[in-house]
Amino acid sequence: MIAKIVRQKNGLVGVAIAGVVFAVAVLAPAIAPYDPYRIDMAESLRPPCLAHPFGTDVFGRDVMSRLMHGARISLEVSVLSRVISILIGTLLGLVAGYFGGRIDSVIMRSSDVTLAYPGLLLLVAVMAAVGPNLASLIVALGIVGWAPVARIVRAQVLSIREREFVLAVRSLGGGAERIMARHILPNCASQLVIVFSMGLGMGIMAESSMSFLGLGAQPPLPSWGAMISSGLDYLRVAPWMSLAPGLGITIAVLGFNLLGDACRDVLDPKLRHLGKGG
Amino acid sequence: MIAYILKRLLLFVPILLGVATVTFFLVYVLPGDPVLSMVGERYDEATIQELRREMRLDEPLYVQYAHFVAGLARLDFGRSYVTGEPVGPTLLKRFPYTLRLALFAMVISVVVGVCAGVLAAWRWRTAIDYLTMGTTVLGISMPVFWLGALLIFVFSMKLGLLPPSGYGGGGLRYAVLPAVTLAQASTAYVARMTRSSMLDVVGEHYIQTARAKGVSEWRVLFGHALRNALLPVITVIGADFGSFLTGAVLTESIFAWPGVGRFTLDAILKRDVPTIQGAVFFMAVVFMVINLLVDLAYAWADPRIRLRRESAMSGG
Repeated sequence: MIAKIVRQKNGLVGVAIAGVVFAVAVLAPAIAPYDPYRIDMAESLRPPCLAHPFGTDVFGRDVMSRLMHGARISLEVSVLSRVISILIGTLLGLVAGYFGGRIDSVIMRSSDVTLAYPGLLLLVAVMAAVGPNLASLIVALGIVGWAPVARIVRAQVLSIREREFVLAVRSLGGGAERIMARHILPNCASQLVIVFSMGLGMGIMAESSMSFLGLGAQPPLPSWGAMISSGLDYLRVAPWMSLAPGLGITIAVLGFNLLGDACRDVLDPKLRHLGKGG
Repeated sequence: MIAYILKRLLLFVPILLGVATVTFFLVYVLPGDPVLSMVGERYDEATIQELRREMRLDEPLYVQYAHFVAGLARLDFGRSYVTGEPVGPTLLKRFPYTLRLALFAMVISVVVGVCAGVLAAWRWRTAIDYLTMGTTVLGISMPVFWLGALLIFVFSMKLGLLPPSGYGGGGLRYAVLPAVTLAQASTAYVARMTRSSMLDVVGEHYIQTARAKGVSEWRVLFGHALRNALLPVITVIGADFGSFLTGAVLTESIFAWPGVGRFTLDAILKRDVPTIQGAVFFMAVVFMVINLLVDLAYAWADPRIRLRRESAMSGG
């Protein structure tokens, strides 16, 4: 599968960018030239130079080191929240699709309610309620994202439920759990990989948006969104403070979007409409 | 068609009730005592008890909930804890600002997006196509709040052409940067959708016929192909308009635009419970109504959808 993704030009770029972002995130403590939290007022607001390729912020912290550590936060939030969404969505989608009837209606109407909130609004309200910190953001983002996953899994289950091999297991006396876990779930796997990979870019975007609004990572954590927001006050004197992290977000999201699109094209070309326009 | 509309409207009721319930309980768990934050440092017990009674905070949860839902049914969202003003009228006062920005952004995303999409499809697999599509991928990946910062930096700070923020009494100059920022992602989607939809259409026989009978390239593209390619584009535009009207929280807060999005964010940061409840509910309703209108327009234009949805709904 990876070979197929790399064979597409966009997929190759996506894999490359995502790989670099991932490597930077994992290796940040080892490769970052400075401590991202060390305050040094003598170095405050240095423009980009050899010692500080992206300059320093108000507190004299090295922007590049903070960017590298910020990649950890973005990826952590994005991957973990995506896992939560997929767990909840898969479970509810399986149950709704397999059993149908009343329980299906309840789950689908709940997904309607979740989807009735526009964009970030539900997330903003949840974060305001539970208080802004990274752990809550991961859980909130995970819970808010369950509905589209459940719908995709349910649709897949509906198309598999009446197929011969499922009927065969059922006539042999296979129980509902066994059928769902051993026979239906594996057939949803490629869909789930697509949903997971296409959601990573969105997750990074959501994390930085929430941190930008002050409802995610709190200072002094070097989240990209929070760095942009604190840099806005110094836009005139130190534009690098907000321009550099924005570039980081754009490149990371771009990479994961390309990767997600490539996964989708390889695994299920029929789903092209998912990416709005493809 | 009427049966379809009625069905969709009926489906609205449980969803609205669900949205109201989620909104109520979400905000209810907000930490901090609203009464204490209202009266501040100088307070006496009697005033606090008085306020509690007035705000119905002394009643059990289910009574508060019933009161909230009953209020919504009468379109009464209560009074702000911070300003004491009724929430509903304040929201309506803020809404025209958001609407203005949304319409402006919509015009940009439709005009620029459709033209870019047609151009890319016309020069399919050339440098122009790759450049346009590359730009749209970038547009989708760029965070709105960063584009906003970038535009302020270039156009107000470096070039001094446009004001960096504020409403400026309604001057068009003040709306340019926020509208471009808001339109960014949508423009990219519209361009991609137009391109792929145009590419589907240009292979059709009637396009060949038009070309064969000597119709100018311009008319083939805009008169024949685009007209038929536009239907899927309209869905994207409609959905985006819904989120423009409601999801402009980020754009409005960067540009200090006095719309509903920034109003909601302010209320959240100040823990102004009735305002948050009212604004969140209001936005969810606006979003649902726009989505419904888009679906209806689409069903009206394409009967196949109407039939499919109807059978899907009766099936589950």
